[in-house]
Amino acid sequence: MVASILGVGGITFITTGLIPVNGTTTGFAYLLYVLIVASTWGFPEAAAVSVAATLALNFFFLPPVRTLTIADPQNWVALFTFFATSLIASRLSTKARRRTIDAIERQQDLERLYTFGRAILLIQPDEDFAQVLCRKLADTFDLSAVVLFEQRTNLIHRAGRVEFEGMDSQLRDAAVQGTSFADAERNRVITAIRLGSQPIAGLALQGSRMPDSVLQSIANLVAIGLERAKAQELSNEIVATRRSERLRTTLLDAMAHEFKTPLTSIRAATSALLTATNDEIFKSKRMIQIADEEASRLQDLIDNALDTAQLDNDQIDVNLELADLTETIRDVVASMKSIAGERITIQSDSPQPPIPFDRRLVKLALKQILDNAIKYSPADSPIVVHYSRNEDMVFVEITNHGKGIPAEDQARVFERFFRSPSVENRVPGSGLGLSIAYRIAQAHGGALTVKSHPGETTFRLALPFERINSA
Amino acid sequence: MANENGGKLSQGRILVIDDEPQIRRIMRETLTGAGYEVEDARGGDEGLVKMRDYHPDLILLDMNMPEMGGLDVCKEIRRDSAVAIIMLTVRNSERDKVAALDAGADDFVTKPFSTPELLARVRASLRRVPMAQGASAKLQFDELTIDFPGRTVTRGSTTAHLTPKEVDVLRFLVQRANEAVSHRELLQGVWGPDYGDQVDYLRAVVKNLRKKLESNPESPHFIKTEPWVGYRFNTLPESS
Repeated sequence: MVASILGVGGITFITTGLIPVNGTTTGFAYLLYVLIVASTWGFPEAAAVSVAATLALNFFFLPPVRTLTIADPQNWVALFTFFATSLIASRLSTKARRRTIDAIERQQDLERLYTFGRAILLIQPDEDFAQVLCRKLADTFDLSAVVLFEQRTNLIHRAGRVEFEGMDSQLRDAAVQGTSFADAERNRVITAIRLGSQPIAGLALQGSRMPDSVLQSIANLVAIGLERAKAQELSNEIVATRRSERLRTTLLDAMAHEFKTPLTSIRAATSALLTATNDEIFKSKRMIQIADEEASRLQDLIDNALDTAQLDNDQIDVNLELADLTETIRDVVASMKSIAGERITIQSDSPQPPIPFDRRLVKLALKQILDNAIKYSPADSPIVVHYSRNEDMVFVEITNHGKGIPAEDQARVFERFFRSPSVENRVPGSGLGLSIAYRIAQAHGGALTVKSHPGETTFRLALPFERINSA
Repeated sequence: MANENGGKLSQGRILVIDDEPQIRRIMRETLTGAGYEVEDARGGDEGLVKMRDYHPDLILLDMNMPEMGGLDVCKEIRRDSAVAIIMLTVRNSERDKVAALDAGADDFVTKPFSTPELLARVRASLRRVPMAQGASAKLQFDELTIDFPGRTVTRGSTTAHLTPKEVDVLRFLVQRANEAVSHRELLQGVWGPDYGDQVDYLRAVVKNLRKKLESNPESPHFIKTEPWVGYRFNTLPESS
């Protein structure tokens, strides 16, 4: 302000002293200066300059010179016209300037809206959509706080440098009833996000005053973004359901195959017995024995399947008991004699003291690993169970001489339902066995690992002496 | 030949190929009990080796085996043998049935099966339709020569072996040349009285026969289809 007035003084000095010119020229010089001030600074400065220029013109140029009185009435008109022109010019100038600023701001707003809209489209499906949305909004529009309350999920998402305190109820109102709220003092605004006419969320912004049109555009973009998130969630659910259906079918297929095998023997035996003539008694005892053994095996299979299915769903509760692990291993191996024959041998370093473990669960885990070894190795190849220990843990290593697990599958072999593509269509299986064994190991505070190269695969079950985390 | 059956003559030699030891066990029990000689193999590779040494009359082949799958084994056997093959399947699906027949199996049985059913199918597969009296051993039609006792078919310079069922179906049709023979008649005549509805079996055999007999299996000259009725062996020249 002061500087602009000094400018008037400057011009006056030049025109009266340095380069003597008449009043008219000076007047135009003043006008020019007023325009410059108006377009550079603003109306107040330009108005002040107008007043100063008028006075200067009067004082220095209009007769009688060096007084504020004016002799000639024409000069009054001239002076008044000068003042009016000056004011109008500065007004017009500032208006033009204002409009330019507005246009630039609007362009910036549009750019920001475009950036924001694009950012919404680029949000990855695995990110927390609403959260990232708020963050992008705060970043793009340079807001100090953004809060989003989504009615569907009943969640509040926050972003921005500043804590947005209070106004939770207004935010909810906006989401439910569609009301808006503005707090000009703290530069806050709360608006409803609508899809069609239905409000689906409430959005609170702090830190930047933006025109209503921009706010509305933001609200629309957020609405679209939230709808996209909802569609993405639905799509994921469908994919998951379809996958789980497919897995269920695979599981049922595998179980059907396993169950049908002992059933075949039983059915064949019983139907043969029913058609046996009286003098075929000698073979009937053998048949009955086969039927009995296979029925028992079927029972085991069913129990195993039920156990596995149940464990797959629940938390594994471990009942620790001090027991002899070697004996448990021997029991498991013995129970598998009918399908493995004499293939399995047990080796151990030295007699082992009893350790705490859940016998039922560890039996199941060992059975799964042995099943795996039998299934995926040649029919006459040996399987070795090696039992050892160090100070804190016992190790049960089961080695088979099958084709091996491809390196890229080794990391995934303990995943629920995972079946290596190299065997998927050849050998029936549910893909659950190893994952159950893995979880049983973990539930004991231990671990199940695998090392495999073509020709040899070793699974290692490690159990700690003392459970690391007590219940 | 004295054997486990207490001096009875063996009804035939059967090779069981199945990866599950319990299945091999029950098969052996059931079949030896019915008077057959049984040998078994744990998989396709072992099965193919044993075939050469044992010369079975019939092979019972499991469809779901790891390593070499049942269908592959069947195709491999069919490459140079016309021995009777019955496939054991787990699922009773059309697809499995068609796949088995297409691979060259003569019949199939779904697990679990009843022993009488299995034995009936074994009998049907081992059944040989006796040659009618006075029927010629070799027949010639243009460039096609059929040798019934030798079970071969020669077209031009190519000779193909016929499976037992192929021989029987062909002979049945040839003995009623230029006459339409119904599906039912064919099935019961060749497979036995328990059969009559299994048109798929016939279709599979005819398809394979056409591959061996016809210069263009897609538009056959010799074995004509009688729609809705059955088949006819045609010896008349084609009218253009």
